[in-house]
Amino acid sequence: MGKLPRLKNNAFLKVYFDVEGIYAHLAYSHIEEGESFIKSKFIPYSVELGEVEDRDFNRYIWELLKGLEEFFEWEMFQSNAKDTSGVGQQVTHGRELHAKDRHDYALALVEAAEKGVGISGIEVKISDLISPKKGIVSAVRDVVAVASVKVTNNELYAKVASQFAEKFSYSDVIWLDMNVGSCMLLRVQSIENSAQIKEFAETEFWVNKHSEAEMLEYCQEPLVKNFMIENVPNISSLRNYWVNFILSSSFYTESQLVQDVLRAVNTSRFYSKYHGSGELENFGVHEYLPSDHKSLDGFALIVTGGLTRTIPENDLLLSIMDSLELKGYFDMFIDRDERLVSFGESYFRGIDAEDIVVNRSYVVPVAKKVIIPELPGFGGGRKVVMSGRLSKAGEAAEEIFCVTPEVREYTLPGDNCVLEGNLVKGAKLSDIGNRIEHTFIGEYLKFDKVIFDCRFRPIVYGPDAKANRLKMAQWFNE
Amino acid sequence: MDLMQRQIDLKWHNGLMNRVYNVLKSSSQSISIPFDGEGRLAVQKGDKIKSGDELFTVTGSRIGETYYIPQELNVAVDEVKDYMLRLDGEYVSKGEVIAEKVSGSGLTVKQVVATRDGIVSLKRFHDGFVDILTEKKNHKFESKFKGEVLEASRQFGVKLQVETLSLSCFKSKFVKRSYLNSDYILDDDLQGDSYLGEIEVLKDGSSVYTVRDLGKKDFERKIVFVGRYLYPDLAIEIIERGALALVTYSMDYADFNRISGNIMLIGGFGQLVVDDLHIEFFNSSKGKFAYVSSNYPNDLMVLDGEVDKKGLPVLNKRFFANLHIDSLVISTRESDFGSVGRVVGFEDDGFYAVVKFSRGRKAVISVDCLRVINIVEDLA
Repeated sequence: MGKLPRLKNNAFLKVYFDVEGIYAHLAYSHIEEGESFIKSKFIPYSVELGEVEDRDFNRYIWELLKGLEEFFEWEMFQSNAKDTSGVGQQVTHGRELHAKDRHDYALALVEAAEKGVGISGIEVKISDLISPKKGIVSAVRDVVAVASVKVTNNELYAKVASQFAEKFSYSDVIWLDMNVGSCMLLRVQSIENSAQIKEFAETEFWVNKHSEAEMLEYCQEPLVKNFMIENVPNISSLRNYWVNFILSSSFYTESQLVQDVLRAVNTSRFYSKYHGSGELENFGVHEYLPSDHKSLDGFALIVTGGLTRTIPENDLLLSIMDSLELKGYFDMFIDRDERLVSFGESYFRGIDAEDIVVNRSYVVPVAKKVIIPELPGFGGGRKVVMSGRLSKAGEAAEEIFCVTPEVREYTLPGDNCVLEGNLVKGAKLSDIGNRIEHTFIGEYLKFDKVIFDCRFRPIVYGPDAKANRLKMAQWFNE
Repeated sequence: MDLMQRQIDLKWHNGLMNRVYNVLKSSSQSISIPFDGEGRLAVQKGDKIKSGDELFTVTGSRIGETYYIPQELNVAVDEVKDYMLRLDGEYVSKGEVIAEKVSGSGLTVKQVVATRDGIVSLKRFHDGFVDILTEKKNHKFESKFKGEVLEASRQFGVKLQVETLSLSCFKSKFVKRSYLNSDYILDDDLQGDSYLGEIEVLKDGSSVYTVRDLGKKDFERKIVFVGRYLYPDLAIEIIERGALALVTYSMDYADFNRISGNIMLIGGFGQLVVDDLHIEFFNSSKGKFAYVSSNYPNDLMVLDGEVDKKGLPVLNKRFFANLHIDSLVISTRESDFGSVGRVVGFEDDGFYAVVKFSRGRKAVISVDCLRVINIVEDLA
């Protein structure tokens, strides 16, 4: 029998070495009191991991863990060293830390006792895409012998995606992980096995990683330029901005120009891979549905990675929809803190989790319902193609409508509400028809918005940034 | 519970925990000077030496001149043997041809001509280098910096421990040059392309300079700080006058790629503003020796480097550094990328910091675009 998690005053530290930085999470739960939370912190790599010498990795991990202890204001570690001349002193808030004996970085866990004191375990995950994994793995094991260390690869993503699909009754899930220098697409679908039992299988996996030299040249690539909308007054300035952004490795920018390049890069990567391939053909559209089925469910899109923090949400959505040429309807989950990767396995095991029991609201992001109806014709001008309402019990319904060729977003009136509408003027969802009825139930999954994309297909960018800018203004009714 | 979470989120922004960026790092380095030839040692283990002190006198030939044949004749390293006209140990006079490449059916002839008398050495031939050795005579080898003698023997030469101050650089590039400094070897860096040269600063280093500002100055074996921004024509001119490496605060990325030379960039690309901290550092390092290497591309190591620690902020020894009033920071925002300033206030619940830069300029910057910096980190 596996180990059972503590249900009272349990805390757990999870650290995920992702492509662009470290995601650190401290989870706490006290089931009896009904209290739980997850605190998260993203730390960009200000020193390239490849520059950390092997002999310095132990110190790097020791400093990271002690730093997290102070940052989360939670006593977690004590030193194992026989020479107690200052190594790993128990932390009180605000005291500076010293490691006089720099050759001994071993840490033991302070047992979980109450809020602010102790953790029952630590798990370190390392992305398959970073190096040097070996240095980090051995350093973690040297520093905290009891730490669980795992490498995240497509198997882990597929497992979490399958559990996600099963838990929330999806038949088809796409997971996009989008970073400045790399991207991943993974798809799991429900299939019937030989015993005619439904199970989930990974049906598509693609990962693409670029070197620093390639990243520096992104802003010069013709396909990237084709998707850009910002005016570039001076190519030299753009190149300088862009290179500074890449080389500083902070991966945060307020520059609209750099954000535009990122959006264009992301769009071009997936577009180059999937345009015309047919591999994502039936995502968003059921092949077989009962004739009375009107509800918009079955498809989920999980989005993670550094670009979720760097690009504005509208740009992110546009980049995904246009690069993958999506249609139909799906639920989009943007996980900026990588909590699904870090806590997914624990959450989906529920009360059987061996590390910590976590609440859905802290692991599963709030979703958006995206609806992309089929429209007759191309470039047919502005016309209303959907009219409907969003209603919540006890409140007046909000009338909603959608006009071509716009992308419209409506905030849901509450956790439990109903979307009803009719697609008109030839617009329809190919598997459902032109009548939309969907009920949002907050206790099951939280949604905050519904987004209608009523642009004519195919979406065409170019010939230049000015033309794209005009189209964008039209799409978002600016 | 939502309120508690929100309060926590705000607190994390207010007390932004970010990595520390070390502008200068102090450490000790061990440097070896091989003893190549007959002679006598002038020091022994444990001696404390200063710049100018004799280390040893060696009787032998020294490298008087070096030619990098692939660059001179535009050929591959393994093709050099096809163009050599001299043998190992052969005597050449000034003006004689060492290597020659004929192309275009004899219409074009490229030659490498000896610029001094001496003995041809093909010891480094397989890397493309041909050296002209001087005649055998006594060479007195003096230290160029202060340090402590760790080892001294006729077999291995002299090993010195030297205090260094390394300046962090944003980006650098190294190209194979026509000479490598083979007198000094940093013991941690046996495989890199390395250069040891005297630091030179153009004027006071605070401005943008042109070729006219150079006058007739010679930059042979110097590492030159060229100021706030480096234009390509200035770079080419200084390289042609013999500089080992150029150090600049900023330059254009296309120019950086185009220019063939060793260049170290401190701040970033584009037209950036250099702060007083870096200007003072270079001016106080004028005349000292610095070590640059392709194995440590982001470090300009100044031997005997010093910095006035008075008035510097308390060192951030933590993995994460709290951002607070008086923190020294460096901006990663596009408009003032690489600028160093001091936090004088916060706005918008701590999401933005008011930063005062050099010459009184103030700006409100997102805390996510700031890095806390250490002026000197002690790596000992």
